[in-house]
Amino acid sequence: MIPFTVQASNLRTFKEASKSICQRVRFGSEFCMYDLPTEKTLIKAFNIASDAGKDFTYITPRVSDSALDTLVRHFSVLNGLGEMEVVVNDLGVLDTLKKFPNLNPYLGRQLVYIPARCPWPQITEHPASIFVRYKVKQIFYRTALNYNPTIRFYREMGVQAADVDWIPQSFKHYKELVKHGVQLSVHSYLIPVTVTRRCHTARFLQELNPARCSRSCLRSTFRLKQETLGAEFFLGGNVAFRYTEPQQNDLKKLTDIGDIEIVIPAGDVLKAVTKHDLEKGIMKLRGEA
Amino acid sequence: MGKSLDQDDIMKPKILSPINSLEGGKRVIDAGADEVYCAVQIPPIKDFVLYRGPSSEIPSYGDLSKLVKYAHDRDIEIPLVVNWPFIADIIEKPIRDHIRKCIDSGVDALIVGDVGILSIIREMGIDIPLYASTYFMSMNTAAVRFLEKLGFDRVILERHMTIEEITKIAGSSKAGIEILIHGGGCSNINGSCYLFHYTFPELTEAQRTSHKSTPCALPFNLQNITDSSDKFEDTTVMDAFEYCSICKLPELIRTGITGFKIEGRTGSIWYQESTTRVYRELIDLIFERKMEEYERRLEELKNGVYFLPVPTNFYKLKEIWCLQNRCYYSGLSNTPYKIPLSWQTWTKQHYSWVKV
Repeated sequence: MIPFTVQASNLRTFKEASKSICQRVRFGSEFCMYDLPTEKTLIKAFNIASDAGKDFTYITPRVSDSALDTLVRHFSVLNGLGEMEVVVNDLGVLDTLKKFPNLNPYLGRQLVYIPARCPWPQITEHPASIFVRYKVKQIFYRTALNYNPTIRFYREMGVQAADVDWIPQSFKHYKELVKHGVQLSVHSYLIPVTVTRRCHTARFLQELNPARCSRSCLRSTFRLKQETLGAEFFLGGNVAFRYTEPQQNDLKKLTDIGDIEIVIPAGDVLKAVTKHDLEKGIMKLRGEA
Repeated sequence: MGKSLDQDDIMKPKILSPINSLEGGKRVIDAGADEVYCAVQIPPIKDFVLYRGPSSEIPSYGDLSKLVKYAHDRDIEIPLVVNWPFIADIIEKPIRDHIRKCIDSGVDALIVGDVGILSIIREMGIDIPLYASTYFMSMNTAAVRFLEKLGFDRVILERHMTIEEITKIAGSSKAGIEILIHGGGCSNINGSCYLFHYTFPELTEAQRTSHKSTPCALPFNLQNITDSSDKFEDTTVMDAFEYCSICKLPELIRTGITGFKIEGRTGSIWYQESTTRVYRELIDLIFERKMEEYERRLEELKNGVYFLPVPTNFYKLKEIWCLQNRCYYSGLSNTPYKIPLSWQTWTKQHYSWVKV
């Protein structure tokens, strides 16, 4: 059975995730360097996962130097706690991680370019000739890792696994990656279409200083609609996501690929904040609900 | 190069100007660019567009060769943009052929944004300076050092950085550090943005009705998912465009960076030339320590309607940029822009100082 991982950015939902039927838990901030946990919270999260008998993965965002210093302190602590995975979204963090032998790097979504995250696949319909259209589609659904020298490069950096998104047209390319020995974590439901450091939510809610941000994103997620364009996104902090509903037949295709886990984001957007919500989501995906 | 500022050893940063035509190249060189960066259309894959359309590229290798000659005759370098954020087996050959043709045209450096493309360049045995594009999203000293280890001679930093962060990186890097200072500065982080600008009917219509040029600048209806009464209409919530750095130049020069990059390969020749000319003049004034004249020119510029790349109905610079905080290196938490602007036709009489 395909394993499920729940990803949480705050301790409250992380506790719920750890109690749920998921196999692994991820903790941390994937996109915002101002939302890094304190050392104390990080250790607490690790202990919660250990007590629940779940594998712990620490997820990190792209960072400036000040946040990198914080991450280095976190890595020192985690390295002392034993072997575990760290998801990295920054080349500097990836290089820094080499100093911590117990921490295995996972390539995060911001380091794995997939054109098909684009919310308007109609651009692939643009070319006039059928042949060119076919070629464009071929490229659109690949990932940056579907190129041997790129995989080699990251392997040499110690990377064995990568994060990708639930894009069914890309699954055949994910299969190639798994064949090449790359473990994949497929994020379900929310595909990041754009990430900023000039946080759109913080600006909108008139936060004055990112370093002293009240993290209003934990309380307010917005649904964005562009009527003329027919586009709909979720604005969660500094990321705009597009929503994709996983289908069971697609889950079957992923299961057949092999070394893959499904990541479920805990949070308000999916109304998945309690153990019950999360288990319901997992069982629904498995076709057991 | 080599002039000092405030008696210390701060080097004069180069001005790197964008172009998408031979004519544009000649104009920005004559306007004072130190380097001119450009891309060339790759015929077999010109229909596969990531982020920008073919309008950001020079149409032919022939024009590239002519541009290189014009630039080299004037001791100006031409770095070539091959910064796709992505490479796949099925486009490897066209990319290889493209790189070879550009090298044969005599370009001086390659701007690269993907480790796969870097590996192609290495494998082809090309010995040419390499510059790390913003697609590498470099925001810290460790990332810059890592890119140095990979052989990059220069690193173009991510746009969304503070002056303090830039200073730290520039002070500890062997590689040259470049920053973007002007133009359609992305609201989002370039290498993680999939709001491609390549047009399709619905996008064109949305741009037309909202008078906005890019997807992130479009107005959205917002609704808080936990409180349905908390909603806002027609809000340009993702529009965090920076535009200008003219007031920040002294501070930016003190960071120790080596190059100021103007954005706008899709801009008009007029924009490319006039922006280059304005920055050339201001940077020269600073390095000649004519600070009063610099301040006077700033006021003139802000009270004028200069170097706007899109048509305007003569809003003054300070009304359309300063009031809305469209400043590259202002704080990271700008409030949303609320001043409605209607872009209308502009007349060249207001830009009489630009050679047409």
